[in-house]
Amino acid sequence: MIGLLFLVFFVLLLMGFPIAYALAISCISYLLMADVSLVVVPLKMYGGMDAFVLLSIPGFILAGNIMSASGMTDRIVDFSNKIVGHIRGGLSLANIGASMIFAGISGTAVADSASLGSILIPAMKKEGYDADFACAVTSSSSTIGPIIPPSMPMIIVGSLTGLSIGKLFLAGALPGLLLAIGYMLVSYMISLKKQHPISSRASLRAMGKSFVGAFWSLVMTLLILFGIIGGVFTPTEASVVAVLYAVLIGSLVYRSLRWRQLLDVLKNTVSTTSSLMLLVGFANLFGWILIIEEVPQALAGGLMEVTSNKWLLLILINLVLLIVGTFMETLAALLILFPILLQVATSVGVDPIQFAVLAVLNLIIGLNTPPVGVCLFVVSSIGKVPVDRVARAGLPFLLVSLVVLLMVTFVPFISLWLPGLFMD
Amino acid sequence: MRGYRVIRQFVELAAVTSLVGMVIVVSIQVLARFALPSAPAWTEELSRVFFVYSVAFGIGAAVDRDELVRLSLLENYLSQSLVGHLKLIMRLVVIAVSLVIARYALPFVQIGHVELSPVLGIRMSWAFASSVVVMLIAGYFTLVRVMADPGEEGRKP
Repeated sequence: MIGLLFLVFFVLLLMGFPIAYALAISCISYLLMADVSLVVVPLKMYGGMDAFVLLSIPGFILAGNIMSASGMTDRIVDFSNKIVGHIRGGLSLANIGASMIFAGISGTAVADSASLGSILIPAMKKEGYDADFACAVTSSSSTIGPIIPPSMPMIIVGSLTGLSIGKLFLAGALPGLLLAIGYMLVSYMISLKKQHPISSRASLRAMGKSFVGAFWSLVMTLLILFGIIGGVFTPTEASVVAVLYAVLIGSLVYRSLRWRQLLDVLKNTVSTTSSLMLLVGFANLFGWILIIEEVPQALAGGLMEVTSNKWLLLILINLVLLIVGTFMETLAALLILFPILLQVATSVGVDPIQFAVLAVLNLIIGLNTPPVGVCLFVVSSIGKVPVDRVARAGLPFLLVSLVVLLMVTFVPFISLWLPGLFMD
Repeated sequence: MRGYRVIRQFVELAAVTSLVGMVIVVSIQVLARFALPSAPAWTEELSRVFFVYSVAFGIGAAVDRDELVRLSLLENYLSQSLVGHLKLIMRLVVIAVSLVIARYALPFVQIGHVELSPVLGIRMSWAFASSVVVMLIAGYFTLVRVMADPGEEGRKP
């Protein structure tokens, strides 16, 4: 019967059903065959959504949306450009730097690529960068968003497993930094080769002025991170504090947030949150069926039969997640696969926090690869460049992501050092 | 389609109000921890109720904007008319499944009628009813899409 569950799910998935409904219908087919009352469907759906920690998702989405509506994106871009604009290919480096800062207020890659891309891609094209490269840099660097805290995938992992979200946030910080450094190096080398433009060095005064503009977004990241790590706030409380902070900064400091805008921002937030939560609800039902059918144990046993070597097993899991990530949305894939694979990984002694970073990293790589690279689609429509050309220009950046993935896989220190330093 | 517009505005307003309610209640929780000798215990329960209702009503906007996450892999290889037919079938199935789940959510709500929330003491049926609301709204907004545009994207009533 478990075969029926997977068969129905994959057929509906390929047909283009919303993933939440593909999960629901496959579960209903299973329950009907197993002669289980369908009352369990709403019961598990509600149970999946009714968790206090999940309230942080609309909180962080709302805070990020308010900051963007307040014109924060322009300030971040301006600040990053003032710092690195005088280096060869400076605007591409600024793009990556801005992504890092923006990651601290948004937590999703698509928001990052859409808001930064709409400013930076036209600006880069205007300065003489080739459009393929401009799109590829934007698309690649936007994947730093779901790794650097606050991170939506990490919140989902925390809600699925009960792992400390503070620890998960910290665990992603260093790999996120490594990604950014790697992207910057590659970008610089390409810029040297292609002789990309160089801007004049900004004066200290201009840099200082620009820093003040972007300062408040940096404070927001620190407020969230240290509020959670210091035990001052729970993740949900931190997200709401971030919302209040964003409203205050947008209305009193920047004086650019209008009530009319706020209403649109609220509508966007409930829409994004609801589509995600329906998925969370039905994934909870799907996960419950997998557990009663002992699928995680069977999969763990099957993989252990292939190899019981920890490193080979991690490589195998990496391959599975990389393939899944190329065609499935990050959070959906996490909801379905993470609890199963975590059991396999922990059985060979992998730290759950390290495994969470590894899983998220694997899945976000798929945001930049065909056939379903969401960030690729966003930047290609902004830059008016065919997706395949952006994907080709993004290959060096993809290589960086894979190197960082291997580092996270084989050097647990990278993901475990900061949580150990601050929270153990 | 005046009726549709009224329902859409009501659903959006309810979703936004629930979200704002959630933010206010959690803010009270944070402020009370610093300003009062002890933080109130009811805030977590109430904020969760606001949250599930913001999701329940917000699903209307998500369906309306076609924001439900899905794969569009196969669409690239099929003809336009076949994709249109597939979308129509898909939407009809989504409506049917939503109604089936809403129907089975009714006994779930009844279970909640005899269960009280630990702190607020409200009947849990009020919170569980959000599972009926979310499915009815998802079904209704999908139906509107079918009526407006059986297979294609774009036009709204």
